[in-house]
Amino acid sequence: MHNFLAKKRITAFLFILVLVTLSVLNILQSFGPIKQTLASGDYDISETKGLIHQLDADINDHVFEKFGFVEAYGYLQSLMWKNEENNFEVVRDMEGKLHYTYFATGPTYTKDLSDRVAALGAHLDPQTKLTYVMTPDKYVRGYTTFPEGIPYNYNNETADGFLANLKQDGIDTLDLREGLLESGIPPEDLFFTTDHHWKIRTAFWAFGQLVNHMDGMYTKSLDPDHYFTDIHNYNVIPYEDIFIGSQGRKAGKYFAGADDFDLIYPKFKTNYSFYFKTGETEAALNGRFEDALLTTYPLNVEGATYDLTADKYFTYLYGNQGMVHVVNKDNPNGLKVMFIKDSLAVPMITFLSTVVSEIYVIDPRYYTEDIMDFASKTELDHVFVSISPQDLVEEFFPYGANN
Amino acid sequence: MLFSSVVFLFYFLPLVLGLYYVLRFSVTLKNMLLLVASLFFYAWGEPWFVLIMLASICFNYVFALLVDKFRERRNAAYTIITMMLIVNLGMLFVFKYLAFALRIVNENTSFGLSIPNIALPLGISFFTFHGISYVIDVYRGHGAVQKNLFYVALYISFFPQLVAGPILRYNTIADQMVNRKESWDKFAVGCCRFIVGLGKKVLLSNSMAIVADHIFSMAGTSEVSSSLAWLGAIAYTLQIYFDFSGYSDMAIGLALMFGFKFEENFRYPYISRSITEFWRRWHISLGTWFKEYVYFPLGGSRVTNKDKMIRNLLIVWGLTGVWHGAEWTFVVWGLINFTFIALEKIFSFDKGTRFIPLRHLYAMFIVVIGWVIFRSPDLLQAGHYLGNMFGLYGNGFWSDTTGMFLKEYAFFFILGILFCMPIATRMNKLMVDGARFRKPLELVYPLTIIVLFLVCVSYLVKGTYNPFIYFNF
Repeated sequence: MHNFLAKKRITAFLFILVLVTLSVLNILQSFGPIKQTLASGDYDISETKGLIHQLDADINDHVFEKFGFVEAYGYLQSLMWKNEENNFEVVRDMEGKLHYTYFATGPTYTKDLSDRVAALGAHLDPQTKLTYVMTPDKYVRGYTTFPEGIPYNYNNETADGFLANLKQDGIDTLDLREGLLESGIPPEDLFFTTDHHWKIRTAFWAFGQLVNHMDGMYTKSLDPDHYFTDIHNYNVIPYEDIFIGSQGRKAGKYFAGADDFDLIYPKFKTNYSFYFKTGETEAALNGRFEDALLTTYPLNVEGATYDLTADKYFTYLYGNQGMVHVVNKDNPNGLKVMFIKDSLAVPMITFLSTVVSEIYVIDPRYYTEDIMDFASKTELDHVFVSISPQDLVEEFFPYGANN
Repeated sequence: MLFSSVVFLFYFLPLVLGLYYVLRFSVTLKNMLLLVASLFFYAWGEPWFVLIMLASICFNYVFALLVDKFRERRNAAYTIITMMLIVNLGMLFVFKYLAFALRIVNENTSFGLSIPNIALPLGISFFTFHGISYVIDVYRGHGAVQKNLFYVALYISFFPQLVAGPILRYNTIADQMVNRKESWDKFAVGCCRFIVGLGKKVLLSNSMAIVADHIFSMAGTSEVSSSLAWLGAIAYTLQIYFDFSGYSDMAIGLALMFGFKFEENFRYPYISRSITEFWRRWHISLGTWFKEYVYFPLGGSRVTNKDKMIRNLLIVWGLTGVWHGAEWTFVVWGLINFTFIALEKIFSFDKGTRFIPLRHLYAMFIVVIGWVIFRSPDLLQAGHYLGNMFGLYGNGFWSDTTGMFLKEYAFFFILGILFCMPIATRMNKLMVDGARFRKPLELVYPLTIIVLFLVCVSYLVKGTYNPFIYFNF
């Protein structure tokens, strides 16, 4: 019996050691946020549950070496040859790319959303054109395959139905899913492995497609010499194994690895003013493309690979802001356009700024005022709505509802 | 607060353990600390419902004093016991069954009563049963009445067993509250038991929950392949066992760390050869409670004729079903258990020793079918799910989704099935008896348990799917 308990005594000793060490380190880590929460306001006794939830969140968000544990978790999933992690939070396709998915039996009904876009079109000045730009889903038809049985979310089929409805309503559309596999970009390089966004090179290709689409809609071509849409006139700075995107952050780098990131900006002379406002936060910058429209902070941040501020995709236009206004000072007589968009469109819009005069960018999630009002009161040549297939939900269309 | 949470593991537990052993010199101070910690533990999840539990503690304290005082006056004592049952069960009825009862009235009459939306206080079924046990045990003289309210409060609210049991009868713990001894050996065994329970819950039960929840949401309303429906049923069978037995292991382990000894709540129920045996191994504390406070007082099996025994069984199993939840599915599940236990008793099936593998198959078949009904949100969906299992809709046998779930969760299915069997017990025996394997196993054991703990932590920090079945009970 003595020996039988010896192993349990050793285990208990080790357990106490691990428990106390992790406990102290966790308390040190979350002390600041907990203190801040407790000091943040006058607590009504009826809000006790809310306070507890907030403290719980502080504790869970500030676990010591949180992403070390997440990486260990992801590594274990890989050891078990799993293609899904944490209740299908993300799944891995046959190429190893991560995807958001869920169990679905068919496409989602989106007629009410396309009606809202039609209502926006009807509300615009008759001179202002409206185009819906459908950015591609990470599940690229004709290329992506899931392991057998992994659920497919029917995003592409939902997008098909949505575009068909828009076309019925006479709204101009550009489907960037078409021609994607003929873009010259290897299919495995169209999207990041660990992020749901397309790569910057793909966004640059989409910018070219958009310019082509707009040619013929105006008397003057946006890029008659194909100068601005030629990648050779841009610097392409590669950063290897630097990016762990939103999907990779869920499972850690041992589950799907890290991505390379290309920073693309013009070689030619540029001069911009840039302004953004999200909630009460606003900022303005002036200068060249790379000074005004790009922030290199995410590329230089060290030791915080998993931090949101290290998200390389947010290099362009400082990510998703409520409202952005970009002025290309070198092209004062160009078009004035507006985008109502989600995050996929951001680098494409940034590149489009080289061929237009002004761009307003509205993110429906963070812009709190009336989008239809803004669009009709601002002098615009063209309004683009660009919400990707995965975001065809009410949150991204907070305007033009029937009721 | 959940045992399987960061706040419990790295904040609550070390703090309470540390303070407890600092106060080791005084039983009163240790008990006061445990009471305060238990109330805080409960209030962390449900800050207002703690008042309901405190009310339950107070009136059961008073009822016990009264029943103790009037013990010799039979009528007075019966009146007090009746009032105690009305108050306890009345409170349970209001929070747990009122909406269900009103729904039945509305479905069968034209009254159109409005159904209130009443939130279920965490662990109300458990602390109500603790309260009833206390007063009845005092009446029966199975434990001294507590003059000190703190001890009643500690018995009812002690955090290891507060939200999911085991259901402690007062007579098994009354003495431990004042005369327990902590020891390093008890503590060590408790730690290991706690970590094993954590592993069962976080790794096995939660993984099986993903499979079961997805399949039940599909198969309850639409047609799926019969293999998928069976896989979901098996996944739920494993989920509920590892969820509940894991939580019981954690409770027993934690209690040991504080010097208490709780009775076992599970003894490998899935190796049973009959439904009667299954219930001797499954949720033992609930079965014992019903036996002590319902079945025996009704006469149990020692009655003059079998009709009365069947009646007693029907009452117990009807109540057992309803105890688990306010829905017809639980009633039907209770009645299925009643039917097979009654048949086994009538035909003395439990005593048979032939066809052992077939007996296992029979027992597990009934258990799995029972869990399908238990897990389904209503009888309609339960019927649909069973239809899918038996191919009643012309649904095929195999689907890619079955293959995917099997492949993705193969590791957890294999471990789950293995750990339903007494492997750990055999390993322990091997360590005690087998000199050849003792040394390597003893060396591997601490490392394995600590790695298991860290793996559980990685799952918790990651924020993996963490449902808890018995929060509804």
